[in-house]
Amino acid sequence: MHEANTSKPLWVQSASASIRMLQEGRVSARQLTEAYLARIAEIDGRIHSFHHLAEARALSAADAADREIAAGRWRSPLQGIPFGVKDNYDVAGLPATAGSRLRSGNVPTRDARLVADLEAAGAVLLGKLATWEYGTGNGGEYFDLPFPSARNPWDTSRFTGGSSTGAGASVAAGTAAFALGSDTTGSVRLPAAACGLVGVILPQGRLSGHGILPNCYSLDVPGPLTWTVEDAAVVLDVLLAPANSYRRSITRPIAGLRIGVVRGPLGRFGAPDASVEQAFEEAVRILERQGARIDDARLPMPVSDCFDVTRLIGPSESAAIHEAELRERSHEMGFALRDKLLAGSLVRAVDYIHAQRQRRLMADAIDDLVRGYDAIITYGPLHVAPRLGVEPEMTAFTVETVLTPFNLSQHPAVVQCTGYSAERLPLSWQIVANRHDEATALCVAAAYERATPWRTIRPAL
Amino acid sequence: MSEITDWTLVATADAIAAKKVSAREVTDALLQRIAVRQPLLNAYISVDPDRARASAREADERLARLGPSGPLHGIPLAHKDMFYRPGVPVTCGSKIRRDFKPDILATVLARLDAAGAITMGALNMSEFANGPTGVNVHYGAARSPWNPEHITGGSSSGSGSAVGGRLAYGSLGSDTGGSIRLPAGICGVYGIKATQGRVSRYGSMGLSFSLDNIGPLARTARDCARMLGVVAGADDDDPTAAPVPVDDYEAACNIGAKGLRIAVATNHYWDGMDSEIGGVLENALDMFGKLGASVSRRTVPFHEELRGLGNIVISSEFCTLHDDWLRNHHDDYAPLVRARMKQGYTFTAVDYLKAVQVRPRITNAFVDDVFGDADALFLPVLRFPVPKIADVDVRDGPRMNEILGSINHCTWPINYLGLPGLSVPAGFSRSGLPVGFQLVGRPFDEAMLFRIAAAYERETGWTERRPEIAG
Amino acid sequence: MSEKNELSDRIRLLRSAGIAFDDADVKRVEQSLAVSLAALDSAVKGSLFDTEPQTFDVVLRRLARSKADV
Repeated sequence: MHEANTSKPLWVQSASASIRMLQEGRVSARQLTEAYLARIAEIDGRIHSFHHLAEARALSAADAADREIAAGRWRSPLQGIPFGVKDNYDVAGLPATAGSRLRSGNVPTRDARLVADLEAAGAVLLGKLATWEYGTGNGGEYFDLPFPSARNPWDTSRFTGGSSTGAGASVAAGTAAFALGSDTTGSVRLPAAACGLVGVILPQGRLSGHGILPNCYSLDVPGPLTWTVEDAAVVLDVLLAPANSYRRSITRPIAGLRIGVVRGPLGRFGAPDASVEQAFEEAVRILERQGARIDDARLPMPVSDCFDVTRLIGPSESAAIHEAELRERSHEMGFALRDKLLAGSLVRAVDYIHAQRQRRLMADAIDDLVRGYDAIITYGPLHVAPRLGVEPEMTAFTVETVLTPFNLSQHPAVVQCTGYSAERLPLSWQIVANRHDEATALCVAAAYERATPWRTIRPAL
Repeated sequence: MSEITDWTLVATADAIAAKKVSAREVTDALLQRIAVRQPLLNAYISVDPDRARASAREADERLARLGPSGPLHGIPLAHKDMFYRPGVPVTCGSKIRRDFKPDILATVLARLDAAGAITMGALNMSEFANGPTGVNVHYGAARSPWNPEHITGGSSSGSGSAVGGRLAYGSLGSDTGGSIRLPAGICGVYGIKATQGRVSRYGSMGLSFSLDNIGPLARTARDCARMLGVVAGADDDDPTAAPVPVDDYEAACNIGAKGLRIAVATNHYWDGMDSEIGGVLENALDMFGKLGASVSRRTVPFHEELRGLGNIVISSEFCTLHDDWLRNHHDDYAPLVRARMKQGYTFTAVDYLKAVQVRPRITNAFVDDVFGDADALFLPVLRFPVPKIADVDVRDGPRMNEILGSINHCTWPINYLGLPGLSVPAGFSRSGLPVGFQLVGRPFDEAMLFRIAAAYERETGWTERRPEIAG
Repeated sequence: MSEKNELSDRIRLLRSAGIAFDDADVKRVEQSLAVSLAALDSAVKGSLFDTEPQTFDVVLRRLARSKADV
């Protein structure tokens, strides 16, 4: 086994760079996993990205990966690559507490489908990542859960974004090469944005929700968080095995693509932070310089209307799924979850049904918009990561985003880093494509990423 | 000697295709009969003779040039007034929609058009399809062709009256709690509520989108099978229309019932059974024995749950649709419809979601239990002789729940289960009013139901008796 | 929570809907409400939580007679 390049730690590079090193024999799976475990030992006490670390299991998986590589057997490009999954995913034999007292001691006997798929592909599971309780919340942070809240590696006094909090923290800080989260109204894309990552969601049904604690059946989707667009492409290639590999698709130039730039209407959310807006506009110009045909476009309704509809649908469905827990064990819940389930319990059937009908109309109108382009660009969150637990910034950060329309409409969406603010907090935007065309969203994101230096900067922890 | 208007749909279609009679002759004969019987039966909300004659003329021309366009070529039908055709008024049996003209074409109408059918006019119905008696304060009650003082059942009241009264060869209705099966059984004809998702609902008025079904009423099993075969199947415009292949329902009518297993529900559905009606149904069961089918009696599960869960889903969905009108057009609703709507406001989203989310579990358990060793489930349609209109026109009075509940007692639970249910004519009470039974099957097993019904019909011939009214 | 409380909570929902109703409505509604809430209690045993919910149309298709049975 060759010595690893010791000039910089292995966790700094993207998963794709590690893949190349593995494939070239310049590093072993064991070395890679040890590097991530060392990083976890070094800083996870400050960022709390993991709820449950499975060190021995990971090393054993890494060794198995190495044995196979030595025998010339490669299951997939992800063989030997260390990853984490949000603690609302089931992993056989590991705790699945979903960040909650109510599930303490819960150890599933079957893997979630995506976990099984990644492990079958040779990837190395490090453990279960921090999450808001039950993978859901309103933005409120009450510090009343059985685990310390994950911290934003870019500034540990700040929020990671939620609910896939640990997924965001880990990939940014290098405690995992990539992560899987889940998104109902933003919970993959918001931590991706706050932590300077790539976060991807696809329409329901593309990635299996099997074995993931349900939050809202009609909105939940799983999704990866990665350091680079190429990393996301590799993960999706392994999970979806598309006819045209995403990794190849993202090398296509974007000249001639028609892109609609959507700056609003933002409704009652108000304007984005100046730094978010500035980065957004510069990013648009970068796409323009690469030959994309840029058009101004608008959402067919104020984005706050989309948010309002999700607030009728999400909490109600969560309350129906978790009614028994709310009735019997609400005193053991954190405030954020209890609050949300109570709100869901108050929604009338007519309001819920009306919201679903509204949703359908909105989804159709949004689809009409997206169909006019190869991709549309929107803001992600309108603000930068707030100080953890400080209101009204926390709730404003979580609520005031342009993420919810695409949960309602089920379009593929990619959030990516567009730079850093003066306080070195990540800025972001969102690229949305037509329903079966996530490759185009990834392609636009990749073209932007290639033209910018953001991926060379890691948090200075 | 039977007149053209007494022929079955299939016989008429055969005669038209063979040019033994023209579409124009058939339509004219029917229009003459409608002119006489409509004032007695009030089956139609509106008749369109010009349009019907024009369509008939086109049908004859097309037949001469190209042959029949489909299995319903030249056949005059009429439908419950809730299916949309651009520019044609669709009242939904209401005052609020009295002048409504849609701009889309219902998929079921498009399919009937493509099969060559003709439309005579729009049929009476309970307001917004809400009500099992067939009473309507805006358009007047539809009346039974067997005795006009008696109900047709609802909500496809005009469909039952018109088909039973030989004022249309077949009719599309809708069924959310019994609204096809009741008027069919009460008016002595066939009516099928197919499996949830078997027939596209694009372009039709909705009542409860989770439980609504569209299906045909017709005089014989074969007639009904033919119509279902034309309208069933997946539809790009209706994502709830199941992509399950459509069986040959007419062919199923030829197979016979030998060796089939029929289960009879003895609990709930038989409660309070009138002895005369019970006797008629027992005769039907004896007949199955003669046909080589076996009959077993058993209790079936979940009837209480099905009533309550169906109520949560239907009332929540119905009042969401009407919430705005209820505030702005409160007095334009019949008191009964308004009253039934208010239930929907008492449910939380969690109630509703639970009721929806437990549906697959309950249906799974029901089908495993009941159809594990039975091919069809036999249920009554009504447990008592067809009542007089005056006796059930309770409006929103204190007996509303009781009376309406007693009428849809046997049909209501089946919608929540999503299973197909076929009403089959089974004879007549001493008072000369029809008695029917339901056959309920596995999902997408409509062919089995037609198979049993057609075999029964061949042996019994109930469909040959005609109502004694003028015209 | 007693059944009586549940009924009155639900009637409160009806009141808050802002539409006209009277005592006859309340009586009628309470009658079928009781049946509906009892149905929920009876039908929904334990958790409805499934990590892969079986939607109704999927279940119907699965319960259909397989062509092999015919």
